[in-house]
Amino acid sequence: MNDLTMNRRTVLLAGSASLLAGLMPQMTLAQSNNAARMNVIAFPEPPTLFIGLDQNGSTQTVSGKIYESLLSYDFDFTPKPGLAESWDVSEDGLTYTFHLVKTAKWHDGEPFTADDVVFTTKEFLMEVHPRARGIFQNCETIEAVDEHTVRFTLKQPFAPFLMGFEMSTAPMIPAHLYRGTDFRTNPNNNKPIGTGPFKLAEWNRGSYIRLEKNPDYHGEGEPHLDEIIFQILPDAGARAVAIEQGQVQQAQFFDIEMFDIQRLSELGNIQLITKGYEFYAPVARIEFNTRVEPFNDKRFRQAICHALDKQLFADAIFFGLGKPATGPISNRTRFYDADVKPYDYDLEKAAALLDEMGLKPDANGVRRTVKFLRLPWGETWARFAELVQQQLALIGIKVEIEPADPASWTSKYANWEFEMTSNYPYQFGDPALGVSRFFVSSNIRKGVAYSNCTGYENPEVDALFEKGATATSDADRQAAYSAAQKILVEDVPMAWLVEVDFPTLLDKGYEDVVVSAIGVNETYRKARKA
Amino acid sequence: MNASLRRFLTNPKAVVGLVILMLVVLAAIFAPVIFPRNPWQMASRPFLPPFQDAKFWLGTDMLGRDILAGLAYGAQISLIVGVASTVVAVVVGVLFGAMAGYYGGFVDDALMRVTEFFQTIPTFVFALLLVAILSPSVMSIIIAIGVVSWPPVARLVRSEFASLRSRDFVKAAVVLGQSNRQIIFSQILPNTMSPVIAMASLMVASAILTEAAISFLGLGDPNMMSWGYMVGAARTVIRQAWWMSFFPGIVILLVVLALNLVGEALNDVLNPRLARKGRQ
Amino acid sequence: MSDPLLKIEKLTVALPSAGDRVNAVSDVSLTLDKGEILCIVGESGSGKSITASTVMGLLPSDQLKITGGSVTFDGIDLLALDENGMRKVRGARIGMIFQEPMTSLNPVMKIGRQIEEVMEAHGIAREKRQARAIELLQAVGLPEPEAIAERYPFRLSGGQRQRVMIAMALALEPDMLIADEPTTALDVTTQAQILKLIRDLQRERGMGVLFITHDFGVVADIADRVAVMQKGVVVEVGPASEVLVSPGHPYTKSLIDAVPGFREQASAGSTEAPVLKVSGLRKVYRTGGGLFAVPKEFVAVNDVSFSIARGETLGLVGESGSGKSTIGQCVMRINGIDGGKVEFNGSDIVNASGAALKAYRAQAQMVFQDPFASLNPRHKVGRSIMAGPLAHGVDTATARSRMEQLLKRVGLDASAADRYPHEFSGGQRQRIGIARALAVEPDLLVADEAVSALDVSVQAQVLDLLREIRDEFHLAMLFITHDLRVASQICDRVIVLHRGRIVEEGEVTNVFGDPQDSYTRNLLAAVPGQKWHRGEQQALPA
Repeated sequence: MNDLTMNRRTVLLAGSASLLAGLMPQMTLAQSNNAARMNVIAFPEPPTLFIGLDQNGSTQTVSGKIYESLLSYDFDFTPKPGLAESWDVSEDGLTYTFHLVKTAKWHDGEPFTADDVVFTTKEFLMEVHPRARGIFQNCETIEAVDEHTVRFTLKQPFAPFLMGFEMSTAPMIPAHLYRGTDFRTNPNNNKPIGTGPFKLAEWNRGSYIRLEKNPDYHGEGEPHLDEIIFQILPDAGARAVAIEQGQVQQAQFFDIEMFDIQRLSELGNIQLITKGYEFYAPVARIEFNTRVEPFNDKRFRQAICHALDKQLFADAIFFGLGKPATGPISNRTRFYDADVKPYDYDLEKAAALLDEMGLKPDANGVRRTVKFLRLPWGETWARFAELVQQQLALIGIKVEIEPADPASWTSKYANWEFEMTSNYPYQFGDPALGVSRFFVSSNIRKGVAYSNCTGYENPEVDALFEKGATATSDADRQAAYSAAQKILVEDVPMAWLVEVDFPTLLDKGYEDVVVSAIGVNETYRKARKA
Repeated sequence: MNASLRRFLTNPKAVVGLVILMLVVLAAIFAPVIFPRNPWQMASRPFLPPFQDAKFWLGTDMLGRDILAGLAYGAQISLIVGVASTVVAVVVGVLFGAMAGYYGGFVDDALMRVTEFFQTIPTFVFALLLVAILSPSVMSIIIAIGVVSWPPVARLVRSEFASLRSRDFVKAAVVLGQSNRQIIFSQILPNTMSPVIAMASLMVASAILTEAAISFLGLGDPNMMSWGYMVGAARTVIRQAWWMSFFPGIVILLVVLALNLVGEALNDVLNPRLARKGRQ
Repeated sequence: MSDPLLKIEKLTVALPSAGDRVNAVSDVSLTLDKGEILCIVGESGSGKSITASTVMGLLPSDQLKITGGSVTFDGIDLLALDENGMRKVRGARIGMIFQEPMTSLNPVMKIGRQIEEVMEAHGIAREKRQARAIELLQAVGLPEPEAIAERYPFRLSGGQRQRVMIAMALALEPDMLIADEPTTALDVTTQAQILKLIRDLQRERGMGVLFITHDFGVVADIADRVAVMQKGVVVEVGPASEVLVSPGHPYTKSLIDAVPGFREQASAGSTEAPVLKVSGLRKVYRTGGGLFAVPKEFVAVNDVSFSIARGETLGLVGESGSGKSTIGQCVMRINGIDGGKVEFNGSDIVNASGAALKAYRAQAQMVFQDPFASLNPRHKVGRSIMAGPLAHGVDTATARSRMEQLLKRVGLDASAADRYPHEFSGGQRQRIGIARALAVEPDLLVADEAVSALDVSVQAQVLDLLREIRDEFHLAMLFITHDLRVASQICDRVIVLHRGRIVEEGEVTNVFGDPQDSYTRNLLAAVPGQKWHRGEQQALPA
């Protein structure tokens, strides 16, 4: 930006930047030498960098550079080598054999071997990682064939098994440091030892985390960057300014408020990337509690689906970062099927359904008053609730918004004390991993959030999800999931509104940063300065 | 009182303040008539700038809601919260202050310790906490603001009571055999009302500000359109759409200014000490 | 003599338009020579203080406007001076002392420093100031002037503060001293000392003194010449000896007639059984105290006994702090007591409560000192008077008719019931206060300084009223006053109190005519204007 372009906005920015200076931790690291360095926002500050025990938010982004799993995934979920060079799957879909990279070493110099894989998947994850447990409990045996070969034998076919070697699902944990210890209190939890391309160099709490290049990394000539510095910026305004002024080169997920994305992406040196979130691919949706009047009536739920203008939600709530959803599975997740009942925005159809139910408008035009438990995760979800309220008013459904703090939201949601609420859970690439949990009747578990909280029960759907998880051919799986999607979209236990695109803002001076379905949480072994 | 009223009405500060307040009251009363559409309803395309569409003078917000309609409906909740919470604060404050000032001694000590306890907690934080505990609604906001704003009233009433308590006309009432209740409510209380009324008008202003701040932080009643909510929701897009937060901000400013003008004018007219100074 | 020191000619000061008369002061012409004391005497609202304030340039100019006349001081036209010029004259050439010495001193500055500050303002060299301040404190008769100079005002008594004020006024050796009711707030013995001090200093220094007062007794003791003002107009001016002895103007005459003197003939007294009996009364005030402090004790009343019968007036006299008002409040159960007994019609009232206390409230009533403070400003007069009967269960109609009768009895129109207290004068309000007390038909009336705040002519009327109603309603009356002349006028028996104890008691003409106690004698000697009252005109200053 040259001097001539100084305009009012720049002056304003300078002002707000100096205002925010107090909120921003000083970026004290020397930026002068020629080291290939990348500054990335970490928000919120990770509680720990030990990915084995915490897979929330920014922990993945930072630890993803330190820890690895056996596989990586292309944008369409094709598995690619990670710590495993190659792998074989038996015809019956019961035996998976992984051939490990032979040169991989832990950051403390110990060699990475098949024993570490067995320890991690058989002992460590089964004890501390519920999502991984869901995958590896399907194994009959897990054994080290030789020092660099591991064999998993399944009890019955589990089709998404290969999807289970993503970094946050099955991070490899060093057996020599953890075996036989109390995993949760192991002192090594504070000094992460992985096999990844970067090692922890310095963690100045509240300010920054500095990772440095792992010179012994198994990838030939990798990594290309010398340092990655994660800047801890708790204030949203400060994060936007940091991107704007080039103090950081990357922001991801919801680091930058949605309304600022458009503006920042037009800065010239910044590019907006929405790829690299395929593994997460959330669908913003309204969950109905199908146990309570009038949500127990399919027609009422369908009427709501017709009354909500999905495109408006995408545009007004998510500022164009997303597109209308058609059903429970995102089009970026495997086995998506677009051929389902369409719920076009049609107030007459909605009204007709309500009339059919006998819900007539009273003198004020109100047919029914319902409650909406507001998701307490910031302005976006407050606007979301308001737009629901605004749109349903048009068909005579009066929505009372019920405010909640995060703890009480989770508690009410998990204990079914709601009528409607919104949500956008990750799908983890495969319906068997991230979708079926919300619909199968076996997962109706009171007190557990992100289970089947709507109370939807349909034996046919249960059977289809079962079949989708165990069928060995993709064609069979697709058939099962297509059928399941048709039924679910007919029954609408939820109103699926928007497939949300997370944005990554990245300095144009970097290349090969977003290369996989987990995008910014990837190892960055290939990332480099242009 | 008639002379006071006349003096009040000829005070330019009072006139300006009253005119603004009248406009706001009218807007609040006639909001449903002027803007029959629910203020939460999308009225036009989102992000419509002001002064472009004659139907939406002040433009629309990010969900296409009419800003002008929002201001009119927001006046309702601002006035309800402002007046009701002040009534709560004045009733509680007068009771505490009257008891403490009239009975003195142990009662005074006990009540004043309670008052001080409330005063030591930063009022806004306390109000936020109460709203969060009671779960956000108009009622809980009224209660919260009332609960945090009575101590100054109690202290004022207490000091007035303490000084009036030793006046001869109060002693005369004691000697005449009037009951404590009669003396408190019929003899002393009417004589403390002037400063209390002046204070109350200023408290309405601060209650409106507090409500705006609570709503700004997203703890307002989610089903009531409020100025604070409008500013709070629009602050995220202030760079793209200045008008969404500007107009409600200006309205808050004007109303608080008007209440302060009226409060000061009332003070000039009703506060006996200042009034006497002016006369000599 | 040459030109007078001060010459006021046709001075007219306008009142704000709302007032009931046009001018606060109109066409006032007065002169004051060097070495002379001119007393301006008049009742409240006569314009005497406004005249003095005009001379000092202290009129609140936004309220009161000088519309005519001139004020010449030693050849200087004071009205033509700007604020700066006036400041040079003030203090340096004209000193002034006020009625309330406490509010005229800065409470947070040492006495010596305050006097030095006056000198500093007028450019007296620093090294001379301190010595001069001590000298002045000595000149006004303060003991240990060095120690006094180091004290703050609150540690001095009222008389001492007034002496300090005089010292400050004299700091620059002014040619003229203006004294605006300088002794009104003081006890009678202190008043006598201050009057003597002013007189001595004036003689010693040859100053002209303009002395404002409402008290003809004070005039008789101090004035060379007298100017009598009524409603803003000077009605009579002349040498004190002439005006006091043979007043020319009827208003002057009526004022002088109203001044209470000492009664000569003994009263018959009452032979009935006493209705109120007080024995061994003791009252202690505790101040300060709290969680960590030991309270200070002050014995306000110590072992006081007396009784009153119906149809009899007992006077309680003494200076401030003597405990006389405390006794009244103890009798009325406004205060609790710390020892002794108070019995009414034979029954104890100290521990009475509930119905017994309520019954007592209907039998004993009180008239208060300040007619401005004793009526609720928010209640109409009728409501105030009816409050008592209503509290005792009398029905509204009866209470109303009683109220109307009483208003007539105390000399007010029945229409007064619908008006607010501020619409009445001080004397009228005191009548309302009496009506309110009578409304519950009491047997005992306690009058606490009931006429002290009133102008002398009004005072005489209210005293007459009190005497009449005592006889008419056959009341026992406890009359509390600091003014021995008033006590002498109305009381049958009198008790002289000093520091909470009875020093002397007896039939009023006996006590005042032949005092046995030295304190009583001092009190009597200090009453101003006695010699004039006794017709010993040769004692008046020539």
